[in-house]
Amino acid sequence: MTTSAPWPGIAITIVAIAGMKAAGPLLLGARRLPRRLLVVAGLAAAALLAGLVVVAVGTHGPSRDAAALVGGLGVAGVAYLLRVPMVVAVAVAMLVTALLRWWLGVGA
Amino acid sequence: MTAPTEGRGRPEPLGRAGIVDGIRRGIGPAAATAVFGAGFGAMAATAGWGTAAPVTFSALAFSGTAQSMLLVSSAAGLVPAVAAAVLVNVRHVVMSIALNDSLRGSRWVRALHAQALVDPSFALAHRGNGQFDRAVLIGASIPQWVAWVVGTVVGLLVAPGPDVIRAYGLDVALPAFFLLLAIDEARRSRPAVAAALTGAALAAAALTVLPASAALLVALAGALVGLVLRHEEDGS
Repeated sequence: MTTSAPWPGIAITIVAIAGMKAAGPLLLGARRLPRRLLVVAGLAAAALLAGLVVVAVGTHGPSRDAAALVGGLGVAGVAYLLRVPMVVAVAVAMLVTALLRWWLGVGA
Repeated sequence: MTAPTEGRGRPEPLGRAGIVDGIRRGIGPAAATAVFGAGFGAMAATAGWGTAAPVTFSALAFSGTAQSMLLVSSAAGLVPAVAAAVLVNVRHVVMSIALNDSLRGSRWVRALHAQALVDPSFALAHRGNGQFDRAVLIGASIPQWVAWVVGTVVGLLVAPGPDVIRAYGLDVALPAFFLLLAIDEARRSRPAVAAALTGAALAAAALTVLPASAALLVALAGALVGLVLRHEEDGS
Protein backbone atom coordinates (compact mmCIF):
# COMPACT_ATOMS: atom_id res chain seq x y z
CA MET A 1 0.00 0.00 0.00
CA THR A 2 1.36 3.41 -0.89
CA THR A 3 1.82 5.93 1.86
CA SER A 4 -0.34 8.98 1.28
CA ALA A 5 -0.11 10.59 4.69
CA PRO A 6 -0.74 14.38 4.56
CA TRP A 7 2.50 15.33 6.32
CA PRO A 8 2.00 19.13 6.01
CA GLY A 9 -1.45 18.85 7.58
CA ILE A 10 -0.09 16.64 10.35
CA ALA A 11 2.74 19.08 11.09
CA ILE A 12 0.47 22.15 11.16
CA THR A 13 -2.04 20.34 13.38
CA ILE A 14 0.69 19.33 15.86
CA VAL A 15 1.89 22.94 16.14
CA ALA A 16 -1.67 24.31 16.41
CA ILE A 17 -2.61 21.87 19.19
CA ALA A 18 0.51 22.72 21.17
CA GLY A 19 -0.31 26.40 20.73
CA MET A 20 -3.88 25.98 21.98
CA LYS A 21 -2.74 24.05 25.05
CA ALA A 22 -0.21 26.78 25.78
CA ALA A 23 -2.73 29.56 25.17
CA GLY A 24 -3.42 30.28 28.86
CA PRO A 25 0.21 30.89 29.92
CA LEU A 26 1.13 32.59 26.64
CA LEU A 27 -1.87 34.96 26.54
CA LEU A 28 -2.28 35.71 30.24
CA GLY A 29 1.33 35.54 31.42
CA ALA A 30 1.42 36.08 35.18
CA ARG A 31 -1.95 37.85 35.28
CA ARG A 32 -4.46 36.11 37.48
CA LEU A 33 -8.06 35.48 36.60
CA PRO A 34 -10.61 37.69 38.35
CA ARG A 35 -12.40 35.89 41.17
CA ARG A 36 -15.65 35.50 39.22
CA LEU A 37 -13.88 33.98 36.22
CA LEU A 38 -12.00 31.61 38.55
CA VAL A 39 -15.38 30.33 39.75
CA VAL A 40 -16.34 29.72 36.13
CA ALA A 41 -13.00 27.97 35.51
CA GLY A 42 -13.75 25.69 38.46
CA LEU A 43 -17.00 24.58 36.85
CA ALA A 44 -15.49 24.03 33.39
CA ALA A 45 -14.60 20.38 34.05
CA ALA A 46 -18.16 19.49 35.12
CA ALA A 47 -19.71 21.21 32.09
CA LEU A 48 -17.18 19.72 29.66
CA LEU A 49 -17.45 16.15 30.97
CA ALA A 50 -21.26 16.22 30.87
CA GLY A 51 -21.03 17.58 27.33
CA LEU A 52 -18.64 14.80 26.30
CA VAL A 53 -21.13 12.17 27.52
CA VAL A 54 -24.04 13.81 25.70
CA VAL A 55 -22.02 14.12 22.49
CA ALA A 56 -20.93 10.46 22.70
CA VAL A 57 -24.60 9.41 22.93
CA GLY A 58 -26.04 12.12 20.68
CA THR A 59 -23.84 11.45 17.67
CA HIS A 60 -25.67 8.08 17.33
CA GLY A 61 -28.97 9.93 16.82
CA PRO A 62 -32.20 8.45 18.14
CA SER A 63 -31.56 4.76 17.55
CA ARG A 64 -31.38 1.37 19.24
CA ASP A 65 -27.62 1.83 19.26
CA ALA A 66 -27.97 5.01 21.30
CA ALA A 67 -30.43 3.22 23.58
CA ALA A 68 -27.87 0.48 24.24
CA LEU A 69 -25.23 3.09 25.06
CA VAL A 70 -27.56 4.99 27.37
CA GLY A 71 -28.44 1.73 29.11
CA GLY A 72 -24.80 0.81 29.65
CA LEU A 73 -23.81 4.28 30.83
CA GLY A 74 -26.90 4.52 33.06
CA VAL A 75 -26.17 1.27 34.89
CA ALA A 76 -22.51 2.28 35.29
CA GLY A 77 -23.50 5.70 36.61
CA VAL A 78 -25.87 4.24 39.20
CA ALA A 79 -23.23 1.68 40.20
CA TYR A 80 -20.67 4.45 40.66
CA LEU A 81 -23.11 6.51 42.74
CA LEU A 82 -23.45 3.41 44.93
CA ARG A 83 -19.66 3.55 45.47
CA VAL A 84 -18.68 0.78 43.06
CA PRO A 85 -14.98 1.38 42.10
CA MET A 86 -14.40 3.35 38.89
CA VAL A 87 -12.72 0.59 36.88
CA VAL A 88 -15.49 -1.88 37.79
CA ALA A 89 -18.16 0.66 36.80
CA VAL A 90 -16.49 1.13 33.39
CA ALA A 91 -16.37 -2.64 32.89
CA VAL A 92 -20.09 -2.75 33.77
CA ALA A 93 -20.79 -0.04 31.16
CA MET A 94 -18.96 -2.05 28.48
CA LEU A 95 -20.64 -5.32 29.42
CA VAL A 96 -24.17 -3.94 29.65
CA THR A 97 -23.82 -2.01 26.37
CA ALA A 98 -22.43 -5.08 24.59
CA LEU A 99 -25.28 -7.24 25.90
CA LEU A 100 -27.91 -4.63 24.97
CA ARG A 101 -26.44 -4.31 21.46
CA TRP A 102 -26.60 -8.07 21.05
CA TRP A 103 -30.16 -8.22 22.45
CA LEU A 104 -31.36 -5.29 20.31
CA GLY A 105 -29.67 -6.71 17.24
CA VAL A 106 -27.30 -3.77 16.72
CA GLY A 107 -24.09 -5.62 17.62
CA ALA A 108 -21.47 -6.57 15.09
CA MET B 1 6.62 24.59 57.14
CA THR B 2 7.47 27.84 55.47
CA ALA B 3 4.84 30.19 54.17
CA PRO B 4 3.38 29.11 50.86
CA THR B 5 5.22 30.61 47.92
CA GLU B 6 2.88 33.09 46.34
CA GLY B 7 5.20 34.46 43.65
CA ARG B 8 4.70 33.53 40.03
CA GLY B 9 7.89 32.94 38.13
CA ARG B 10 9.49 31.26 41.13
CA PRO B 11 9.61 27.66 39.99
CA GLU B 12 9.01 25.27 42.84
CA PRO B 13 9.83 21.65 42.08
CA LEU B 14 7.03 19.40 40.92
CA GLY B 15 5.94 17.18 43.79
CA ARG B 16 6.99 13.59 43.19
CA ALA B 17 4.03 12.35 45.25
CA GLY B 18 1.61 14.32 43.07
CA ILE B 19 3.11 12.88 39.88
CA VAL B 20 2.88 9.33 41.25
CA ASP B 21 -0.70 9.98 42.39
CA GLY B 22 -1.51 11.32 38.92
CA ILE B 23 0.05 8.30 37.20
CA ARG B 24 -2.01 5.97 39.42
CA ARG B 25 -5.26 7.81 38.68
CA GLY B 26 -4.44 8.11 34.98
CA ILE B 27 -4.17 4.35 34.45
CA GLY B 28 -7.95 3.80 34.23
CA PRO B 29 -8.56 6.45 31.55
CA ALA B 30 -5.35 5.22 29.86
CA ALA B 31 -6.92 1.79 29.30
CA ALA B 32 -9.83 3.47 27.51
CA THR B 33 -7.41 5.73 25.61
CA ALA B 34 -5.53 2.65 24.34
CA VAL B 35 -8.73 1.35 22.76
CA PHE B 36 -9.41 4.75 21.17
CA GLY B 37 -5.79 4.78 19.95
CA ALA B 38 -6.22 1.36 18.38
CA GLY B 39 -9.29 2.71 16.60
CA PHE B 40 -7.26 5.63 15.24
CA GLY B 41 -4.43 3.32 14.18
CA ALA B 42 -6.88 1.04 12.39
CA MET B 43 -8.44 3.99 10.55
CA ALA B 44 -4.99 5.31 9.57
CA ALA B 45 -4.03 1.88 8.23
CA THR B 46 -7.20 1.78 6.14
CA ALA B 47 -6.48 5.29 4.82
CA GLY B 48 -3.02 4.19 3.68
CA TRP B 49 -1.09 6.55 5.93
CA GLY B 50 1.76 4.08 6.41
CA THR B 51 3.34 3.66 9.84
CA ALA B 52 5.59 6.65 10.51
CA ALA B 53 2.94 9.33 10.01
CA PRO B 54 0.24 8.01 12.41
CA VAL B 55 2.79 7.12 15.13
CA THR B 56 4.52 10.52 14.85
CA PHE B 57 1.11 12.22 14.89
CA SER B 58 0.02 10.35 18.03
CA ALA B 59 3.31 10.95 19.84
CA LEU B 60 3.42 14.70 19.16
CA ALA B 61 -0.23 15.73 18.88
CA PHE B 62 -1.66 13.42 21.61
CA SER B 63 -5.21 14.36 20.65
CA GLY B 64 -7.71 11.72 19.62
CA THR B 65 -10.35 14.14 18.43
CA ALA B 66 -8.02 16.35 16.35
CA GLN B 67 -6.16 13.40 14.83
CA SER B 68 -9.35 11.55 13.93
CA MET B 69 -10.78 14.73 12.43
CA LEU B 70 -7.70 15.32 10.24
CA LEU B 71 -7.85 11.69 9.15
CA VAL B 72 -11.48 11.71 8.08
CA SER B 73 -11.40 15.19 6.52
CA SER B 74 -8.00 15.09 4.77
CA ALA B 75 -9.72 14.23 1.49
CA ALA B 76 -11.28 17.71 1.59
CA GLY B 77 -7.88 19.37 1.15
CA LEU B 78 -5.18 20.77 3.43
CA VAL B 79 -6.85 23.95 4.68
CA PRO B 80 -10.35 22.55 5.45
CA ALA B 81 -8.84 19.44 7.08
CA VAL B 82 -6.47 21.38 9.34
CA ALA B 83 -9.21 23.89 10.17
CA ALA B 84 -11.52 21.04 11.21
CA ALA B 85 -8.78 19.36 13.27
CA VAL B 86 -8.00 22.61 15.10
CA LEU B 87 -11.63 23.58 15.64
CA VAL B 88 -12.45 20.30 17.39
CA ASN B 89 -9.94 21.26 20.06
CA VAL B 90 -10.72 24.94 20.56
CA ARG B 91 -12.05 23.99 24.01
CA HIS B 92 -8.40 23.49 25.04
CA VAL B 93 -7.86 27.24 24.75
CA VAL B 94 -10.56 27.81 27.36
CA MET B 95 -9.24 24.98 29.54
CA SER B 96 -5.66 26.30 29.27
CA ILE B 97 -6.83 29.71 30.46
CA ALA B 98 -8.59 28.01 33.38
CA LEU B 99 -5.36 26.15 34.22
CA ASN B 100 -3.02 29.11 34.05
CA ASP B 101 -3.46 30.28 37.65
CA SER B 102 -2.50 26.84 38.95
CA LEU B 103 0.70 26.52 36.91
CA ARG B 104 4.05 27.73 38.24
CA GLY B 105 7.32 28.92 36.78
CA SER B 106 8.09 31.16 33.83
CA ARG B 107 5.60 31.68 31.03
CA TRP B 108 7.43 29.09 28.91
CA VAL B 109 7.67 26.52 31.69
CA ARG B 110 3.94 26.90 32.29
CA ALA B 111 3.28 26.60 28.55
CA LEU B 112 5.32 23.39 28.57
CA HIS B 113 3.46 21.95 31.56
CA ALA B 114 0.16 22.86 29.87
CA GLN B 115 1.05 20.39 27.10
CA ALA B 116 -0.15 17.68 29.52
CA LEU B 117 -3.67 19.04 29.02
CA VAL B 118 -6.10 16.33 27.92
CA ASP B 119 -9.73 16.04 28.98
CA PRO B 120 -9.43 13.26 31.64
CA SER B 121 -6.31 14.83 33.22
CA PHE B 122 -7.99 18.23 33.37
CA ALA B 123 -10.78 16.65 35.42
CA LEU B 124 -8.48 14.47 37.58
CA ALA B 125 -6.24 17.44 38.43
CA HIS B 126 -9.15 19.65 39.48
CA ARG B 127 -9.03 20.29 43.22
CA GLY B 128 -12.13 22.46 43.40
CA ASN B 129 -12.51 26.23 43.39
CA GLY B 130 -10.85 26.45 40.00
CA GLN B 131 -7.53 25.24 41.39
CA PHE B 132 -5.68 22.46 39.60
CA ASP B 133 -2.82 20.23 40.76
CA ARG B 134 -0.22 20.52 38.01
CA ALA B 135 1.70 17.44 39.24
CA VAL B 136 -1.46 15.33 39.00
CA LEU B 137 -2.17 16.86 35.58
CA ILE B 138 1.24 15.82 34.28
CA GLY B 139 1.28 12.47 36.10
CA ALA B 140 -2.17 11.45 34.85
CA SER B 141 -1.21 12.26 31.26
CA ILE B 142 1.88 10.02 31.31
CA PRO B 143 0.08 6.62 31.21
CA GLN B 144 -2.50 8.08 28.80
CA TRP B 145 0.22 9.25 26.42
CA VAL B 146 1.92 5.85 26.49
CA ALA B 147 -1.43 4.12 25.99
CA TRP B 148 -2.30 6.45 23.11
CA VAL B 149 0.95 5.79 21.22
CA VAL B 150 1.00 2.05 21.95
CA GLY B 151 -2.71 1.83 21.06
CA THR B 152 -1.99 3.54 17.73
CA VAL B 153 0.78 1.02 16.94
CA VAL B 154 -1.44 -1.93 17.92
CA GLY B 155 -4.25 -0.54 15.78
CA LEU B 156 -1.90 -0.22 12.80
CA LEU B 157 -0.68 -3.79 13.23
CA VAL B 158 -3.91 -5.57 14.15
CA ALA B 159 -6.42 -3.21 12.51
CA PRO B 160 -9.48 -4.43 14.46
CA GLY B 161 -12.65 -3.67 12.53
CA PRO B 162 -15.24 -1.32 14.02
CA ASP B 163 -17.54 -4.35 14.35
CA VAL B 164 -15.14 -6.07 16.77
CA ILE B 165 -14.74 -2.88 18.85
CA ARG B 166 -18.51 -2.42 19.05
CA ALA B 167 -19.39 -6.05 19.74
CA TYR B 168 -17.28 -6.01 22.92
CA GLY B 169 -18.41 -2.53 23.94
CA LEU B 170 -14.80 -1.29 23.82
CA ASP B 171 -15.94 2.06 22.41
CA VAL B 172 -17.99 2.63 25.57
CA ALA B 173 -14.97 2.83 27.90
CA LEU B 174 -14.12 6.45 27.15
CA PRO B 175 -17.66 7.93 27.49
CA ALA B 176 -18.08 5.82 30.64
CA PHE B 177 -14.97 7.41 32.16
CA PHE B 178 -16.26 10.85 31.20
CA LEU B 179 -19.56 10.08 32.94
CA LEU B 180 -17.87 8.88 36.14
CA LEU B 181 -15.53 11.87 36.18
CA ALA B 182 -18.59 14.11 35.69
CA ILE B 183 -20.18 12.46 38.72
CA ASP B 184 -16.99 13.13 40.71
CA GLU B 185 -17.16 16.79 39.70
CA ALA B 186 -20.88 17.02 40.49
CA ARG B 187 -20.21 15.68 44.00
CA ARG B 188 -18.07 18.73 44.75
CA SER B 189 -20.81 21.33 45.00
CA ARG B 190 -24.29 22.36 43.92
CA PRO B 191 -22.94 24.82 41.31
CA ALA B 192 -20.99 21.89 39.82
CA VAL B 193 -24.24 19.91 39.50
CA ALA B 194 -25.85 22.93 37.84
CA ALA B 195 -22.85 23.36 35.49
CA ALA B 196 -22.94 19.66 34.51
CA LEU B 197 -26.69 19.69 33.85
CA THR B 198 -26.47 22.97 31.93
CA GLY B 199 -23.48 21.70 29.93
CA ALA B 200 -25.37 18.50 29.07
CA ALA B 201 -28.49 20.43 28.02
CA LEU B 202 -26.47 22.92 25.95
CA ALA B 203 -24.57 20.09 24.23
CA ALA B 204 -27.82 18.26 23.44
CA ALA B 205 -29.40 21.40 22.01
CA ALA B 206 -26.26 22.33 20.05
CA LEU B 207 -25.97 18.83 18.58
CA THR B 208 -29.22 19.32 16.69
CA VAL B 209 -27.64 22.06 14.56
CA LEU B 210 -23.87 21.88 15.08
CA PRO B 211 -21.13 19.24 14.71
CA ALA B 212 -19.94 17.41 17.84
CA SER B 213 -16.82 19.53 18.30
CA ALA B 214 -18.80 22.77 18.32
CA ALA B 215 -21.33 21.21 20.69
CA LEU B 216 -18.49 20.55 23.15
CA LEU B 217 -17.46 24.19 23.06
CA VAL B 218 -21.08 25.18 23.67
CA ALA B 219 -21.21 22.70 26.58
CA LEU B 220 -18.30 24.54 28.22
CA ALA B 221 -20.60 27.57 28.47
CA GLY B 222 -22.45 25.57 31.13
CA ALA B 223 -19.70 26.75 33.49
CA LEU B 224 -21.11 30.27 33.16
CA VAL B 225 -23.81 29.29 35.69
CA GLY B 226 -21.03 30.13 38.16
CA LEU B 227 -21.65 33.80 37.37
CA VAL B 228 -25.28 33.65 38.52
CA LEU B 229 -25.16 31.01 41.27
CA ARG B 230 -23.85 31.72 44.74
CA HIS B 231 -20.62 29.77 45.09
CA GLU B 232 -20.67 27.25 47.91
CA GLU B 233 -17.76 24.94 47.26
CA ASP B 234 -17.33 22.31 49.95
CA GLY B 235 -13.58 22.67 49.88
CA SER B 236 -13.20 22.64 53.64
